Amino acid sequence: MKKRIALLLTIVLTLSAMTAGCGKKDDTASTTDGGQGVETTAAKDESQAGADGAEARVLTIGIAADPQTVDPQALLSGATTAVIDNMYSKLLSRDNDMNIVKDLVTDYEIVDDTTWTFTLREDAKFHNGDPLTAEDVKFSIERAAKDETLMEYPHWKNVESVEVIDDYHFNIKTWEPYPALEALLSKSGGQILPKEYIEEVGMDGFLKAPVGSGPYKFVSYTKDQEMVMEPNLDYYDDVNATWSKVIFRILPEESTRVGELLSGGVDIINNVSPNEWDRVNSNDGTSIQLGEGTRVYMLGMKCSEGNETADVRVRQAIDYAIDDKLIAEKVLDGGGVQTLTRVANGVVGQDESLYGQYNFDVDKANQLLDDAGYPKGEDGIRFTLGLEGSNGRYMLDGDVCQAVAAMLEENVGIKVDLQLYDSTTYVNILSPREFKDAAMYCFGDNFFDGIYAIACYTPDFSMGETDYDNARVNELYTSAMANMNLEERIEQIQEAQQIAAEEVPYSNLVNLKIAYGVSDDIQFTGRLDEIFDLNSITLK
Amino acid sequence: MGRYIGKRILQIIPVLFIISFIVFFLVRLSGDPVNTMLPPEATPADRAEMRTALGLDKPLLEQYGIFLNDVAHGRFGTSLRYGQEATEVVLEKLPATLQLASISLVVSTILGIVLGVICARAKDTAFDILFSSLSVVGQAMPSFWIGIMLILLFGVNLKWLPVSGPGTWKNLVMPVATLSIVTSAQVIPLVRSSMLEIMHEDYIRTARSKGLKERLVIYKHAFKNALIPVVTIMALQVPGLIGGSLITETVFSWPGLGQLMVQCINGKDMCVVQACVVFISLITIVANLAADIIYALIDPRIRY
Repeated sequence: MKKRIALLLTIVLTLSAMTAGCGKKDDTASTTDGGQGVETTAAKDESQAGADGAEARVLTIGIAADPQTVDPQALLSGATTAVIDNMYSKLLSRDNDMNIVKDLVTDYEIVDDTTWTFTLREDAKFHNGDPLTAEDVKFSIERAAKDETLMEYPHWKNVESVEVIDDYHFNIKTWEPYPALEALLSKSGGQILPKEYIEEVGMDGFLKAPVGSGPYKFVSYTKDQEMVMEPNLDYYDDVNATWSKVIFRILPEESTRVGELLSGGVDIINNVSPNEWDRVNSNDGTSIQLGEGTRVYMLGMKCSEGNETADVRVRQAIDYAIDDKLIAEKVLDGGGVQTLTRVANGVVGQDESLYGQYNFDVDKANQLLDDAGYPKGEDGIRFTLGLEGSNGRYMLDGDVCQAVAAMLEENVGIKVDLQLYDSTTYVNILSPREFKDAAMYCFGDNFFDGIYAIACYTPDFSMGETDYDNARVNELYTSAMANMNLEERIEQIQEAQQIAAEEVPYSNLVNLKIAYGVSDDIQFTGRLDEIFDLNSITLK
Repeated sequence: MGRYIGKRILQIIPVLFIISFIVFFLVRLSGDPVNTMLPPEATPADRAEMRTALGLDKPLLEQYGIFLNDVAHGRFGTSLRYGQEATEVVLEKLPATLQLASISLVVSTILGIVLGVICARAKDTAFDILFSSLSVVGQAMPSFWIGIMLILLFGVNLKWLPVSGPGTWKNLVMPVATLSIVTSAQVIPLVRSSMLEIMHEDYIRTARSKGLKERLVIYKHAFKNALIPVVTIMALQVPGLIGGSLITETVFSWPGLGQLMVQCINGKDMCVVQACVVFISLITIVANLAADIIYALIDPRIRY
């Protein structure tokens, strides 16, 4: 019996020692350590060997979502671009105010409606030392435009080809006139990849050891754990050498992310919801910073026959019955700004007269519903509206939906049958366009061009969803898609926003801001595209 | 014994086949992965294109056939999130989870047995009442809450331990404590009642009447026999610990199977979810098999 017990204990202990051993091996394989205690040591080591002598230190950023890949064209994910954009350069890029600026190109012009010609800078090099030439541009842009399995493909398929003239000159041809090309080239997917290197090591090899031409170089990536970069001292432009190394730690759980910030484990965190703001602000040494965002809460309504909301007066009444400002300031705790347009602040073509505005007039809303033929019943209810929304997908989405439901019932007597779904279930209702009367959306825009938002008002996108169809809006959209007169094009996008604000296929509620938790010794400003621009993050 | 083990190992094959069937269809019942992959404003044409590119437009049975053939060759398909073979992704994460689970199993076994025996010996004393009550509280507390409270106390306020992530032994303390509190809370009352029951057996009375010391009676006669049901419970804790890691790993950003599964469910990465479920099932089956074998080792009355 004794022997058996001893054998049993030996088995258990050996097994646990073996698995613990496996774990350790795995941990050492990941080049850097996420732990607070060890990180300090790493910071000290690095500070001695820092790019800028003794001053350089390690910057640690806690991010809510895993970048998932180092391929800038494979996914259509803000979380990926926010991190990996630092390793690559694009032909054009956005400065911190979202203006499109020349990056890899020194000059470009429109040759004809479907041809643009570009001149590349000659001093750009990839991190492996290879020069960046027009062949790399052709390889990268045509990959995004032709490979259907890449998530960026739907955005890039308007590009027909890239014609190489010589090493530093090339043309981009589009299938149709495409005025948004500058916006396209400066967005995710426009990062230039090293053709020769990828041909040499294969895409798998590239994904393991990516090479770009951006201000920061890849060091390591451990899935669901961290991505590490260091400054590229051979960068063709100024490089911020404040940091000897930058670690993006992946911390999906919000309370953990906040805990890491408060305990000093990380310097910056993103996606902090309003109910954590007090905790961050009241802690000594950390505070919440709000940056602009492109997400807009919008209540989509069915405009087709058979629905109460088919009558434009009913949709207007719903718009007038919702107090957008109250939602922005109270429900979201100041985490957004009321708006009448889906085109977010800072996005090209926004009708600024609609931003910061809201319709709230209970009397007018009631009058409109009376006029539309929906009088209040004895119970004070006019009709029931089915509203579907998510809970946990966007910032305080469940709360926003409940506030809207309460306002509609109390202010105008529209009883709301509210259905809230978890994120994944909601996507399965939204994407195949299966909602009933109304649905709460919170769309972003990674194109930063108003045409992207206007598309929602055209039949290609709206059929099965809001079913909204307005001949003038369709005409404006089609024209703006191909109008090479850029000023006139912006006017067209703005006119479409005004029509939509009047006819309300979506009641636009609030343009959300993005909340970051930042350590007080760090100088950081959140960008509209949510990219962590390492070159502009410094010590105070 | 050898024949029995061989038979049990062969039984794993049909069980895995049934699991593969259930998981394949359940994952598909939960919606179209293309919906999650593309932005909501993508057109139906874009969706159809993506579906064709991923082979999701083929009939379900044909997809299942392809899936089974791949699984038989150890392939679960390429992960959409990682662009890597799902088996590789799971195998990379497995050691971290096994490390957490095995250390928690050892800690909770020792805690559960020691406290359970002491509670039984000191029945109805303050110690017994305290730990019996605490074990009820421990079972009632959700593990994510325990995790967050530990983070607040030891990570944020006292700054003794790192809040999250892997690293040194310090990083292991809070996740192991979270899992062990929940598990040992289940083991303590079990050991206690098992011990109390055995203390009334005839052979204990005989031992006492032989004039043996109480210490010898407890540890040599009672404890060994009380261990039998505990072994079953401990073996059954293994899938619980692996499953519990879903929450614990998420709270502590521990890069194991649990965190991977949560992220892949949210991201609709079907291949990885399927691979995770099959691997966890396999661990459960092996743990149950191990329990049966250990049974025979500690109880000479059991022979297969």
